Amino acid sequence: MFSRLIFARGTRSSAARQANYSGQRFTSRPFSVLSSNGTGQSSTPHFAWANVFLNAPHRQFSSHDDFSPKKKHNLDGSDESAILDLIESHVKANRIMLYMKGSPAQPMCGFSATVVQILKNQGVDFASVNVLDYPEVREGVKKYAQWPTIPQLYVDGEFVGGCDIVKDLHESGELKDLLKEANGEEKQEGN
Amino acid sequence: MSSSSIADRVVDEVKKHYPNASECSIIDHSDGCGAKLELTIVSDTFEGMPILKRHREINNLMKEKGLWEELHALQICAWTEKQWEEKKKG
Repeated sequence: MFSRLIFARGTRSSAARQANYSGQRFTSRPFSVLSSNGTGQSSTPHFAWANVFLNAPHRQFSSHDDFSPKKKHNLDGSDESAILDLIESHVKANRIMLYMKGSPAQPMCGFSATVVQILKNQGVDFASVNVLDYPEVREGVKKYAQWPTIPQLYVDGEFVGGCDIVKDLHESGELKDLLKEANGEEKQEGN
Repeated sequence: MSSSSIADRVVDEVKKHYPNASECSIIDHSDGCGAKLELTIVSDTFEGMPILKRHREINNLMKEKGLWEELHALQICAWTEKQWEEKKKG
């Protein structure tokens, strides 16, 4: 019991800090009397003990940033031009770049699956972004290419097309040449 | 005008834009809403024009004519006469 009291004392002050931090929600709880004095000098450590577990989020015990929740990406709030710059850097850095729904291993859309299949048939390596994970990029690529749909294939930094176009180019053999050029040869200026 | 279906209006506009089209047809793939369409157009205007540009031209036409917003999906098959002959054979 004694060690429990010590622990309660130790954590009570952080519970009080928590109360200052998210005041409204905390003080509306039944044990708010503890936090409202704010000094950590409460005479009822038992309640403080309860408080820690009822009200304080567990992350309060994490001591290092490494353990705090991480977002998958930090694009929130980025303005549009930053997104367009990001896309431009993608398509410039990767000779064959595919924006798709899902991943090459598990496409989440029939059209994306078709393009992945074609690229695999061509035996080329390509980079891809799953736009379902990045809503900003999903909207961004539509603006970047002035093209309304996903998937979008880029070769040598230039927009090639969506599923139908890639399929047509594949069937006519043009895609092969295009991808070969992407593998090193000088690409001719084309429209 | 507004009583005709989206498909009819798309065909009208495309025919007007490509008067020399030998083939201009549309297939409705939707389940009743009429907004999921496949357009086939054959015209020598497309000779030497990359497929991407053909698609863009037709997409832009749809935007200009105010049909874009009503469409859910428009699949475009835009061929030259020569390509169309080959497609029909194949």
